[in-house]
Amino acid sequence: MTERELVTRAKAGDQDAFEQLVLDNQNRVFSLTVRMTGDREEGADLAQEAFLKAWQGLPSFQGDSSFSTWVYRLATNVCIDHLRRQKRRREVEPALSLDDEESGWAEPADWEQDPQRCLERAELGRAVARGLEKLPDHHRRVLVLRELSGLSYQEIGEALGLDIGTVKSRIARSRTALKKILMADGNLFEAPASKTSKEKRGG
Amino acid sequence: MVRCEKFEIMLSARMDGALTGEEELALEDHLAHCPACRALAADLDALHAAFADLEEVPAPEGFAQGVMDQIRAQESQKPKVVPLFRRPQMRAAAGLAACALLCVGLYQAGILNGASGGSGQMSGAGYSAAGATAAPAGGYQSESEIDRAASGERSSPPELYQEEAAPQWDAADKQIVQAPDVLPAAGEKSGKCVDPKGADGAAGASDGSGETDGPRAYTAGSGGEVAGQGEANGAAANEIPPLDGMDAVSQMSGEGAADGAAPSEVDAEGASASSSSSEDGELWHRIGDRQVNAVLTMECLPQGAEEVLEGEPEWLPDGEGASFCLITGVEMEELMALAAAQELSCQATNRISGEQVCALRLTVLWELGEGGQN
Repeated sequence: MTERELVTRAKAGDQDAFEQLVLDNQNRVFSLTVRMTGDREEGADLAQEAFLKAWQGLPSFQGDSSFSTWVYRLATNVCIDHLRRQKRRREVEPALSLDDEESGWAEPADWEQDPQRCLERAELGRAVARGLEKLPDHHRRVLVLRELSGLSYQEIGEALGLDIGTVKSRIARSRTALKKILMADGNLFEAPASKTSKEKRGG
Repeated sequence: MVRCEKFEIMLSARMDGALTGEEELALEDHLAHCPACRALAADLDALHAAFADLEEVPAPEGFAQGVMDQIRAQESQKPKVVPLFRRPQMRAAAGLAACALLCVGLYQAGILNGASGGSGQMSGAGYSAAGATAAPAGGYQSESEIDRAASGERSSPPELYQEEAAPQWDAADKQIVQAPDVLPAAGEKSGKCVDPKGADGAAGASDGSGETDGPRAYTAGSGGEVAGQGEANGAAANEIPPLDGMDAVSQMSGEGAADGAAPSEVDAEGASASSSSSEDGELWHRIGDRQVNAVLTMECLPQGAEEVLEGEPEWLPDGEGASFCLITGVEMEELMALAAAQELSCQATNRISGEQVCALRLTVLWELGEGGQN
């Protein structure tokens, strides 16, 4: 059954059809939320919230985009809301928070349940994924919003309450920081990067 | 290096398509001279590309099931949506509404057909109280009944109810014009009601004559629903309501003609107010095409008049640019009291007894009756 058919059925109240849509999109959505939050549990909660919103918003879903695009966007918005709530909490309880710069994301304890199969497929992909995990929150978020959610600088600025200049420089620094992590992590990044560099230089 | 740092940001922005043309040129220029930045550019490009190939992180086991459990929990908490029209309350309300509609419909039909006797119409109430001895069969009277009434039999004043019959004002308008001509005949008729025949003829003729300018409103006597034919109209139009139970003498005729609400276009010949006395000294006034026992002239309705004037008064043109409606003597007194209390100008030709008929004439503001537009 195509996605469109599933959506049509789900809109008519067919929960099985919607479950199939969840199954088809859960990894992509979860990948986004877990990378945005840096926490599997939080990521799972946000992904679930995104799918609940999708179910509730299904009657108004016009099908202008694909369901997967739509639910991905919903997940992005859920993440942004989450980050804003988090920011407010931190503003209220500064003592309980750690400075972004200091709080690099330690690998979660339950990471082993997933990981190998997921990250062993592509060396670079794995390296980037791990590098992302190690990035400080404020770097990882802008990078995820930019690279994974595809938001513009303007949108990222609105989402995180930053001016565009800050977004621009923070993304640049995040990229540089990620590159450094990958290089320090065993030069995984080096191979393809140097190859590309050579091509570029050659051209 | 400080210089390069600036270009690092530009390199990043370039990947996101966020460089201006000027910045782009400056960056190109710098890259041409800076091997380090060229290397960085290549690495960043590779990194950027790597995001597209980023492996998905599998959702935790049972994730979809968890989502569906949540959804089912939500759905079961939702009150069942019963379509509005199927709800018992709505059905009851619909029944009530239907009843109300029926009542309104019957009421309206009563007004239009003149079948509703004392249904709160100002004119009807006033006149029927004023001395009708027979039941006001009103609009359902046959032509012969109307004729009989017109020729002096003391029946109820059917034309008063028929007045509201149908919007054929044009013929009625003509009747106003005709009315004065009938007067002498009425006078000759030794004190009984007017000669119906002369009026018949006049009105009958005018009825067919169709188009005239005049007040556009539902009009008297000419109504198709009740009388329908010129003859009946004429009869109705010329019949005089017995005032106050007296043997009305030398009363003006032309009664029951045009009662449109637009005041300005009524033929002044038949519509201006005048007054005279009956033989027994009863004072009465002619206003528009009506005769009344008194005329109360006000600029506008005082506040609270709506409560005095039950129902929607029927506003008629007086032929002089003002409008009037028929009220009872009781209502007249109440309105005068209201006007006095509110210091509104208010002139009454004379005082009358409670059940007599008064024309309430508004010179500035009047409210259009239901059928009174245009």
